[in-house]
Amino acid sequence: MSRARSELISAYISKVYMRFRLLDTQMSHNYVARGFGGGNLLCAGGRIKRNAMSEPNDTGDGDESRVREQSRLLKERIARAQGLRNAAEGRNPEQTAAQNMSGLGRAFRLGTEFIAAILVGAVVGYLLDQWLHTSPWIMLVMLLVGFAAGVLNVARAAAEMNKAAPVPPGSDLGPGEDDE
Amino acid sequence: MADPNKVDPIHQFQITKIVPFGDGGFAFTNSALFMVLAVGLILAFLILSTGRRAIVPTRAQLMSEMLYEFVANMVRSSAGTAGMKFFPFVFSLFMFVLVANLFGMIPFFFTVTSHIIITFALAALVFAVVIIYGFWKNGLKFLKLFVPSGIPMYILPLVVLIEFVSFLSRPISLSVRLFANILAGHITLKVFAGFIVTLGSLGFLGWLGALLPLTMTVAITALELLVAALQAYVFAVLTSMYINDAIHPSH
Repeated sequence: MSRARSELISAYISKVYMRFRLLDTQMSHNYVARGFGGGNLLCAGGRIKRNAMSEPNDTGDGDESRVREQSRLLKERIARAQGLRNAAEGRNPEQTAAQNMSGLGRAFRLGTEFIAAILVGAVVGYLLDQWLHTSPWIMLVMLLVGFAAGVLNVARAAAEMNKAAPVPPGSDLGPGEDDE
Repeated sequence: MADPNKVDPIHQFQITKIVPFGDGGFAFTNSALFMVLAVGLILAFLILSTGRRAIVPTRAQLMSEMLYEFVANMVRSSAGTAGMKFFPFVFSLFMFVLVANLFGMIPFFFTVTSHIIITFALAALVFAVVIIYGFWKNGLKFLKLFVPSGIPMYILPLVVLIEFVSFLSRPISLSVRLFANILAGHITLKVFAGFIVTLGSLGFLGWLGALLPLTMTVAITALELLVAALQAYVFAVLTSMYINDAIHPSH
């Protein structure tokens, strides 16, 4: 949750920067006043100025290169943002999600996963028994299957949570490569 | 309350008819009223707060943007970019459960999600979406969900049976978790609040002793607010995980 929050805050800050186009320290020429070509404005000011000056044969003037430079920077920023997003997606799907559950949420999840599977097994068995007139045999078998499915559910949920949880510092993770 | 020793913690879950439709037993109930109120509040809030679309957001706009980002990140991290086409679905579920849960925390309000039929209907909707989209997208490959890879043939039937039961148990656990949390929390709250009244009938010392359940009631109210938000979150997270299964059926 804190990650999403910090992302939001940075998104908000960049929004403010975009609006005022003042404080972005990545581009030094932003400190030039806007009317003289400062800031990120790709539009009116620069163009008008260029037309007014109307220097012949001056195709490579500062404006054009400035625009190029800015679009390059913009491209870099977009690439960086996309990289961050891709990195977020490359992680194990359940990882970040399970991380954010509190202890109460996790405990309830494990409990209900287990009980629900047993209930489903018993109910399915009961209905099959009613249908095939074999009471109570299928129900007994399905109760056991449901138990197995419950254990599977819990093991799966716990594995997700274990994968998500960071390893506590200083914990012994068993013999590793760097051991003697 | 006429008799202070008679506290009925279940009474708050009773469904009453507000506007009956004919004699068939159909009616606009208090449950339906609060569902409409919840949806109305969500709609009003989102439409009004995002109406101006300001670059520098107001507090309300920032709040709905945060809600959007929160759910979008959740869906993206659980189900990937392919899961984002289910974003409106997950967002609607999240907002509905959240607002319904929080409505339940207001005194004299009916808690929609304290009835298992509501939560089961939501879970069944999720699974209808998962199954239909899974078969539509993957065809029969969707059945791979029940066949983990690398299992020897002789044990496969048993494993498939277990996986099948495990799959069937998901909507049950999804709905029971939400319903049980809300129901248990509200009953506990009511019982502790009832202790205050009961003790209070004993006179001054009773009122003094009633401070203890009063403290508990305040603490449980805070806990219930947490549970309300948490369970909405858990519901939405698991929904997006199950949608991920529909998109990528192999384990």
